Amino acid sequence: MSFDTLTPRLKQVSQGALSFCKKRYGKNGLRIGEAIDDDIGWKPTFHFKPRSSLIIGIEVNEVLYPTALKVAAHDIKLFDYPISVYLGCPLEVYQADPQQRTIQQLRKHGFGIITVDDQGKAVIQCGCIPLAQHIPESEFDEEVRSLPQRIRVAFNTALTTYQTNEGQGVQEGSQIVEALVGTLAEQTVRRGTATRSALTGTAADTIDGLYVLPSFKNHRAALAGARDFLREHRNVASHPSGTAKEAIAKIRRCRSGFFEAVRTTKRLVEAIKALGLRPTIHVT
Amino acid sequence: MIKEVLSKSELEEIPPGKIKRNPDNPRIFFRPKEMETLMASIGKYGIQVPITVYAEGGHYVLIDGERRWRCADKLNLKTIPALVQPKPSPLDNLLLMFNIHALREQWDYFTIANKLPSVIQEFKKLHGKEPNEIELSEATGLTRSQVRRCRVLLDLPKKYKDLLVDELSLPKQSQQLSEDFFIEMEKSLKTVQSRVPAAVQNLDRVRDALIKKFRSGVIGNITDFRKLSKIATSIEKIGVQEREAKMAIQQILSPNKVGIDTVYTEHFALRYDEKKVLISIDSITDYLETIATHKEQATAHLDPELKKRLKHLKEIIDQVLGV
Repeated sequence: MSFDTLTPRLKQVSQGALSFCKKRYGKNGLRIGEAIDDDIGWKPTFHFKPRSSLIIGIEVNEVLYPTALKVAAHDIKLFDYPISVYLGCPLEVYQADPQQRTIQQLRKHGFGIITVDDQGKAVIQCGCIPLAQHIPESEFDEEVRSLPQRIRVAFNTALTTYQTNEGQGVQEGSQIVEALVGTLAEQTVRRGTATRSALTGTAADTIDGLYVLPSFKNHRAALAGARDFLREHRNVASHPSGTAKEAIAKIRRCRSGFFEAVRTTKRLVEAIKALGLRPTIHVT
Repeated sequence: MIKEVLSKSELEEIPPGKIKRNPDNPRIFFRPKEMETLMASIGKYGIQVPITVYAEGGHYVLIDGERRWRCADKLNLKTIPALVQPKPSPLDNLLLMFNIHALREQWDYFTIANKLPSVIQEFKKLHGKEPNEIELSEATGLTRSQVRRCRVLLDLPKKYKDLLVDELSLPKQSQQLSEDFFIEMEKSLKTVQSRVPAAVQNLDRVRDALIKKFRSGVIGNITDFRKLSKIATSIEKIGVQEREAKMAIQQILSPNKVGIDTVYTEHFALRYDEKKVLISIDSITDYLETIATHKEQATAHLDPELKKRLKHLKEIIDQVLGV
């Protein structure tokens, strides 16, 4: 099926969105009215591959959050190829959404929005990243809720980075964990429980130094968790992904890594509090 | 013939990509919101009712179920259940679709109107004459009144048909001009043309003025067009001077801010009411005269409630007449 089955208004929106996308992303892999894959329960109005490790699908509809997208979201997230999805709609429909409730819902679920006005001019109202990479704000807020405010803010900044560069975002998360380990070491030295020379070197060395201290006996799980996390995710940003499969694997690793950074931080914060120290960080 | 076609059908699972639209499908509007409901149901429960197709040149052509097929295609379903029938004749192809929809959800009138000429043409080829209203109604499963309404839309000039298509392709809540608007407007203009022909010089200009007035809210309701018809028939029904009716109609049909309701209420409503009262008075008078003739028997059996109301009526009449 091509645009032929659409109403005149949606045909205009499709054409506007298509010309816009061609200009912005090129027309590599452009397919109109074809499925991305048999395993995905959705046939976008059109889709293309702006680069070898990304597919962008556009669903043109009068309805702001069409059922087709709701049904397909799960398949897209699990699919072995990073896919970003935009809803293309008439500008009038976008503007008519009461208090932008549906728009917020679309964004929350990781979809982008392209509007097209009566003259055929297309505008990205809201960008998007591959659905597999997307972290909903509500899920993030729930995770960081119990953290001290300063650390929460640092994770918020890391999330912003993550949304444009997943590897960099996780790296920022790792830096928060490292900073917290640094704080812990600094306060332990100040308290006189360990010497400065015993807690120098990399974050991993510092963790090893803390691990053997008798006062940390009950908090070794938190320290071991931090060490494992840093080993696993510290350099994720510097591992480029060549193929789409590698790209989706990296995205999934980064997504879980980002949450792991938050959880590791939570465990460290609990340990710091239990030791009667102050959980704060100095991230540069 | 249709019965024969239906009896030869077989149920198959067909990939949506192998199915093509039927160019003769009268349905031309697939409103997204209505499709959404169907898509949600199909997403949840799958397609419970098979579509109907016929095989032609390595693919299948839809007879019934374009919305289900579109949803299946959008949801990238592997196959869709379909009743495969032998290829029908052009007339049967059309009539099958009409009858299927007459029994189920009704199409837009404009959708039907657009396909009626094809039905008439195919009927003529087969029977050597054009179908009359009854035959058309029987063949399509539409009522005669529906056939008439379709014909009103069919007779619209192309410019207004295009306007209606544009409107109908919008979501329901964004539509301003409906099929009913055009049907009501055209009926009233027909009445005006037959009763006060001098009031309409250029019909398209009149239509444009009325559409503009409706869009801007000067004409508040499509049923106001019935009042326009009443103004046109007022000459014969309530004895209004032709000149007066003509002036009133011209005022309504001109590009100004005068609405139908305003003109009707100011100059005609009271007279129509008076006419209605006169008819009621005549009826009551007849009844009372009968009673008066057989006074002795009738008054004895007169209902007390009726007596009470007649007395009350007399008091009001005296009051109005200043007796």
